[in-house]
Amino acid sequence: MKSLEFGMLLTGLLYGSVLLIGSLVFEKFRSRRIRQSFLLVASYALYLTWGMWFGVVLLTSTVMNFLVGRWLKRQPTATVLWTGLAFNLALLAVFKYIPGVAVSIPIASLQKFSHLALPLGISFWTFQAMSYLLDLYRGEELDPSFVEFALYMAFFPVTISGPICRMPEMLPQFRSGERVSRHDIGRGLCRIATGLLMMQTAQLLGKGILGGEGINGGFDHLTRWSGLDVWCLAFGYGLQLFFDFAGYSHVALGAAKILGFTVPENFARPFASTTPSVFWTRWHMSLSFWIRDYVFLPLAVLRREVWWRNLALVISMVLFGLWHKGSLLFVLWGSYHGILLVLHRQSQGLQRRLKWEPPAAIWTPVSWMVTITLISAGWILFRANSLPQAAQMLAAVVSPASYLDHVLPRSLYLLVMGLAVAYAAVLFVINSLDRYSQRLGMEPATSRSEIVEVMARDRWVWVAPMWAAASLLVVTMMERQSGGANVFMYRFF
Amino acid sequence: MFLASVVVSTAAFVSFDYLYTGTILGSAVSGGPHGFCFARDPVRGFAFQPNCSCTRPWLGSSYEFNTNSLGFRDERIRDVPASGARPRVLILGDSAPEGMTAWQDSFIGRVAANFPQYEFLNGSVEGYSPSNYLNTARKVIDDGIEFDEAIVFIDISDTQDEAAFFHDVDPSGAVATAKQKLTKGNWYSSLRRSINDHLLLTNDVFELFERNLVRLGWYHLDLGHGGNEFDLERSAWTYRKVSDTDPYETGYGPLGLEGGIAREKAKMDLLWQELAKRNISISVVVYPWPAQLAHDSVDSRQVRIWREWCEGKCRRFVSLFPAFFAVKEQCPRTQPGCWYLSHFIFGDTHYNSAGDAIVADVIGKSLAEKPVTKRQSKVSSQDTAEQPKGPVRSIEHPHGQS
Repeated sequence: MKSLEFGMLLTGLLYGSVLLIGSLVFEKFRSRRIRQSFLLVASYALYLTWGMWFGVVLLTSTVMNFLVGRWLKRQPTATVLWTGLAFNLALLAVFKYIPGVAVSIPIASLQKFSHLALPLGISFWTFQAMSYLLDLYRGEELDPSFVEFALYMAFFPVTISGPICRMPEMLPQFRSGERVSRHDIGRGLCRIATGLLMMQTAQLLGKGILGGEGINGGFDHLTRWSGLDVWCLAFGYGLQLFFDFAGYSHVALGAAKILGFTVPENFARPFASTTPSVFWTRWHMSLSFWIRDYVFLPLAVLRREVWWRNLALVISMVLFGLWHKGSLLFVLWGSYHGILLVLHRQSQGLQRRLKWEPPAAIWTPVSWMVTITLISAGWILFRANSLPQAAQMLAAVVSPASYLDHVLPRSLYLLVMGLAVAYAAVLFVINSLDRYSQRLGMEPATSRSEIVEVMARDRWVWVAPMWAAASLLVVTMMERQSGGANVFMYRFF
Repeated sequence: MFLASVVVSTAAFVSFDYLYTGTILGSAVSGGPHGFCFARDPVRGFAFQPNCSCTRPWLGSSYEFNTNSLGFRDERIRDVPASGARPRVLILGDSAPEGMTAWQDSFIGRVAANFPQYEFLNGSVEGYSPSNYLNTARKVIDDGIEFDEAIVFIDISDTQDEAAFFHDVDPSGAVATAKQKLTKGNWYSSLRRSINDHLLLTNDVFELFERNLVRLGWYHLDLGHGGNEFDLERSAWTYRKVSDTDPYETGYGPLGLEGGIAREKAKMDLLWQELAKRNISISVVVYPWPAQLAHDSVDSRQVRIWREWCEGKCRRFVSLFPAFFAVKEQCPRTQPGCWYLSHFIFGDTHYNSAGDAIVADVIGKSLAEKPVTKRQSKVSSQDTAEQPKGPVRSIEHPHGQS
């Protein structure tokens, strides 16, 4: 376990060093060739540290997609497009889906696939490749060189776990010779710091506090749950996943920013969503928008009927689920969200037909609560270790008698509630300061508080010590807990 | 603004830590209905309750603790019959052989597991020294419990205990403890102790730095337990001058260092005599504290004293100094203090699991070399009456007190 954590530390140091060297190279050189060459070599060098074989798969995919792209530019037909998409889907099938089911298939030749290691980030960079082909087919003017395309596929801040980038956004940035500003570096460092704290917080949620087990133990070691336990685990897991993945996204975006790149945001305060539709514009946005643009919209325009549009929505969400893993639980999770979205659309239609407009002061909190509850229930399907476990947990949710007791340690309830409140408080402070910053200059100086003004203007001055204290708190609390290595959760998808 | 933020952040951290620690300690082990299994004893001052079970905390962790019908630490509660089929070994010592960890991790627990052909009766109790090794052995003999060998683990701190902590209250050898107790410490000791007791997370942060300093060979570790763990007054007498006049535990008054050593030897002489006339062999084990490993040598004064004492008396004399100095030698030059982190409980003078394993290994080799055999009983009840237990008359000390 310790060696795994030491390995993670070394990897972190390695990435940090490359980032530092990269910022110096970008500061010193404006030549597109030097910049691109550095980025490509650094990206492949870092990717190869995860496994030589992974690099071979990535390079093969890069070469194939580049060639198909060239072919598609010359001959933009559906056959060529489907050839490219089929290659990418086959790649995903071979490395991601077949190994998962090969063990249970009674065909010896297929069972060999079960030993194949999943190349890190394959779901992310394969979707990037497919979006490139789809964009070309749609007629986007994209003319990347091989180096630029290889860089697009292997760009190290986003290779392992996204966000999923698009070529039209990345190509101009790869070609830019602009100097990285101090503001960009500062902003990037802030985001990395925020991300690291969030990832540590996710680990703490997984391990628990005060000697009790955390979310991981609640799912992996218990065999019986009360209704309250299930809600605590479901909501807690949502928070854990958010802190982990959003934290990682902050680090990725921050690292890209330090090099002067702007990559797509992946999260936008999803726990503030007041409807399932809004939630999916705020959670794992780069994948959500990918599915919307390349699956849902093309499907939805095939027929005009409402039932078809609703079916397209469900199909899209099932694909969203399958993107994570080829298992029945993820199919159910995707279907569940597809149905939620359909129900939400239907209710909106009904509301419009009835011309019913409830007062926002009441309706918004109710809608928010219902949304968070429904989203949380979905995490049971996402995280459960097996279908029977998910069924047992959902049965506990609908059994009133099970709410009389709880099996989970109180410390976990305390931790989940504490972190939810702390996160809400942080959002509130940030929102208030943002609003205050906007008002600065518009109001007379006499009406302003000097301290709040400094807090709004020079945030690092007070945020840095707060961040240090919070990080120290989280790390020391986590170190007191035993069991469970600190591993980024989304690297397995 | 930055300074204010640092102060506010630190205050927030400490406040949260205080609440967190309070919650942890609030749910910490309390020992159960038997407290921590301690009892007053008219002869030894204190002892363990017989047939007792509890959970005992020790430096941030806790372990299960059981005693047998003799009031000795054992694997589980059990009745100890007067005699047994297997050769019996009576262990005498203080906290080290008692074990401040789970039975199976303690070195006596390990030795017992490795030598099932012997029955081990662990009469060790924290804070004991030769006066009470003698009293414990006498109690076992008086209770009619047979044993074939006594292994005495002489602790470095026994010298101060004999010189300054215990004194005889009557000719039977019954002891009482010193009333006066002075603790060595300064403002840092007090601060460090407060942090240790009330702020677990802050303590972890301090420990992080302290561990690395010790690793680098900075042998100064004051957690508020009476001074620097690497240079406590209790363990310093083998390599530097200690106070002969200051009372326990800042010095060795009233008997002084040499008086303490003389009293140790005298009590051990009595123990040997009582065992010898019953044809029970005696063995002595000496082991180093962190201070000895940091400042002393393999041929420490502690080793020399007991090797000499053992000549003509002991079935075996075991020094653990070479084994632990060998561990120290293995530390890389860049981490000269690694031996402490790897073989001692951090912030303590007791061995951790790895240290206990070394002790068990060395003792095990000795037992394999010279097995314990069933003795031929040669003493009658008359013999006991002929040599009544008496005070340690031979002890003399610089201040004329006894």
